[in-house]
Amino acid sequence: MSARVIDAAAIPDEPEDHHALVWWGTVGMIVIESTMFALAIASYFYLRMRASEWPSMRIGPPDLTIPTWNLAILLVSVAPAVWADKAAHKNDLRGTRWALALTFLFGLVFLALRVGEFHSLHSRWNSSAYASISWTILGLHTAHVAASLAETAVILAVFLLERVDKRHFLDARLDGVYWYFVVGAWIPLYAVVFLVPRLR
Amino acid sequence: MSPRERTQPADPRPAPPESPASRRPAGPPPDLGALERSWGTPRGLWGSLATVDHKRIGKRYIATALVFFALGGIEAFLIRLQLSRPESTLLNPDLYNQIFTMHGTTMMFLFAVPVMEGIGIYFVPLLVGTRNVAFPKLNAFGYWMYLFGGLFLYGGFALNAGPDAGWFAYTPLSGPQYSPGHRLDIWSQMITFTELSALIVAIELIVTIFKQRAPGMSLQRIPLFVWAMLVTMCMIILAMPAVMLGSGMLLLDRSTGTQFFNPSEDGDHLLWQHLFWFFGHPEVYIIFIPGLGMISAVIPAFARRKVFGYPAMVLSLITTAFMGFGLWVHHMFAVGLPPLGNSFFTAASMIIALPTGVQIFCWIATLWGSRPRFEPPFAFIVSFFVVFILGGMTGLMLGSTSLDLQLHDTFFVVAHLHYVLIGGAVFPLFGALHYWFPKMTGRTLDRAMGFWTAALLFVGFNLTFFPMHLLGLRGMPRRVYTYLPGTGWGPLNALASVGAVIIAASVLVFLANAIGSRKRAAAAADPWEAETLEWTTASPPPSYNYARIPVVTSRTPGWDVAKGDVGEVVNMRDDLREVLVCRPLDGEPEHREQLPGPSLWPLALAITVTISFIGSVFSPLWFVVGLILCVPPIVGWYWPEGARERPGLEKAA
Repeated sequence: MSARVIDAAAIPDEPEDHHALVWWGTVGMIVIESTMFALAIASYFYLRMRASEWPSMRIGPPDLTIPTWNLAILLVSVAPAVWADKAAHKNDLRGTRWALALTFLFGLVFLALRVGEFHSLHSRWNSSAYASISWTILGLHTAHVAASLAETAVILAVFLLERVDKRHFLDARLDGVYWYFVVGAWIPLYAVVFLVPRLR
Repeated sequence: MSPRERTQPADPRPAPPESPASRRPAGPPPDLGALERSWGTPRGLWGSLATVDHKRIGKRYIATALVFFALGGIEAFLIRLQLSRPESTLLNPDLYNQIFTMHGTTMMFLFAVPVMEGIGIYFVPLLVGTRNVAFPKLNAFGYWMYLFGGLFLYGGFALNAGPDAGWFAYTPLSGPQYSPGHRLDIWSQMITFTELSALIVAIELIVTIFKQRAPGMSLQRIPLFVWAMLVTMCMIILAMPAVMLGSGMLLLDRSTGTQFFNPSEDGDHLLWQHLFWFFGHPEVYIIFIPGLGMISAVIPAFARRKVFGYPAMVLSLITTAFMGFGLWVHHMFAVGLPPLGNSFFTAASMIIALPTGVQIFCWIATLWGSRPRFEPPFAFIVSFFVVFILGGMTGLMLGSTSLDLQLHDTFFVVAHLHYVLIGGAVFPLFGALHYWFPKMTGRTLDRAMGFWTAALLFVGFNLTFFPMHLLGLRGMPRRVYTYLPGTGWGPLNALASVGAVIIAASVLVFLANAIGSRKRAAAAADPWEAETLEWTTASPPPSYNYARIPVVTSRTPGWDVAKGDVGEVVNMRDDLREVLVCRPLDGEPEHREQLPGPSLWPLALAITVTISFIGSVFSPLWFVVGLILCVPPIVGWYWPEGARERPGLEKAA
């Protein structure tokens, strides 16, 4: 083949959302964390398989009221995240600001109710392997929610205080995408932590 | 469907810009001064702490890992000294336990994986023809985490708090009941440091390989070394979370009283073993597959021809990685799992020999009938064939449950694992270091000393580890700090210890060679006349790697350039840190993107995360305090810099 010459001036100098490096980086992070959650679920069922009672009769299965309400809140919170995603995609500054703020508020409410979810387990982390793995799964997910909220807060601050450009809109979109992951991951984790103990 | 439609399938992706394919007069010559100002690292302390240059960070990884290799080697030497005669009292049992644990931990977590990552960080961007890794600040952060994790472990060891439960830290020995104190806490937290660093390297190298290859470098033109690194990094993403989760559970059991590994509260010791080996077996391939890539880089340069069977080689790498996740139970044949499970894992352990065999035959076919130039890098590769194939043979033996039950926990296993790991990774690594040394430093290594290093390593290695097969067959267990004269193990142990002296001599010759290279002549850009891209730029490469991004039209761009037959990208901005981003499959240009420059925030964040991790060994409260301390560096990392024309785009992890 003969040598090719490519003129970079003809190539766009802004990434088109999912072609951007940071998009791929975010996807990679989601893969890592999904692996972590999958291994935590595997550990849960491994311990359950080896235990005689799961949980012990003394503890009983967890309450469902607060966890289920909180699941609903998390599912509803996808709406502002979608809004943030769409607004950022259209480079809509006002819309992105409001949507990010709303996503952040939903996250805060969810985190506050998370305390109640821990109480719904009826046991402290050190009482049995059942309690340990349940607390760990809840804790891992809480860490993800908190990290995602922190990310939203920083991006929101940039949007309120600084001159933003297309790249920040891309970050806002990715923040929304990461929130989808945090919400999506909670559906199986909720089922494992709160429904599986009721299986006989 | 008409033939016309079939030949022109609808392509949903945006078409590449019209102009690229056309041949046009070269644009203005690149302004090398401006490129250096854009991509260079400032001088002085600030520059060296803030650098995001993948070559500087890669060299740091390699240098740090080699220091840990030396420390792990000294520990190995002490082990050999202690075992060289029966009833030796040189080391007491407690110190011996710490030293063999430190040896294994250092070699696996602080040397083998990081050194491969370092070579990847240095060479992947060069081999794919770009100017930096995808996330330069994250790259700097990953190095600091690795460094601090290693220092933490050795700090503990210096204070008589070195871990002492073996490199795989089985519970209950490593649990709160049998290992009070902080020794195992430090071990668990070191895992968190180094695996975090490995995951970071994995993400950035995968994205670099997928998106930043030079235009024209479609999937079937990726150098085999880069394929090997890509496969390794994918394995890291799936394997490292297992050990992080496991060591996190261990740390929680030890510090907050959770019951994961306590059978009296429904916990289970085997959970640890499963989690550890689900990481631990792929770990072997994470160390070994880069070695395969190095061999595929060295052999064509010396055989003077393309590697035979490129598609088979790539598919073998991928197959090995997949199968590598289905073998972990063969480390657990002795724990009493159901026989059906053991049989499955025996079969899987046998099958994985096939893809490795395919690669070895492809290399032999490459060399067959060629007249290889016999240079030091090639000498290490020839040694690899001998040593690794022996290790593979004992691997087949140990993969069989029935024989494994006899040999489990004996020196036979020690012999096997060193044949595989030193044969599969250290020999290729030394070959690669001799091969790439001129590129990294701009200096040449002495040929005779190179051959001496290879010969001493080969002789010393076999003298040390071959007798261990026999010792294992005669029943000598691993991890005993001494043995009685009546066992008859003395002479073979003495022989193995003599071998260790020869290995040490080999490493010293290499060190003298590397130091002496400072006085030798500057290296040529392409001393080996090799076929990959990195040899088309200066030795050492400038901060921007390539004055112009090359355009690749074959699998051997280095040889194309030598024939004056390679294209270039013109009109890239040289006043910005701009890289070309291409489509992952066909490597056609997609857009240009700007990478961030030097920054102190990665170091600041690494320090606050370190406070959190080290503090949490002593009190869980510190974990929270440390995380709060992390907020300012994360904000600073992400916050746009107003003065820059366009702010950086990298996000905090």
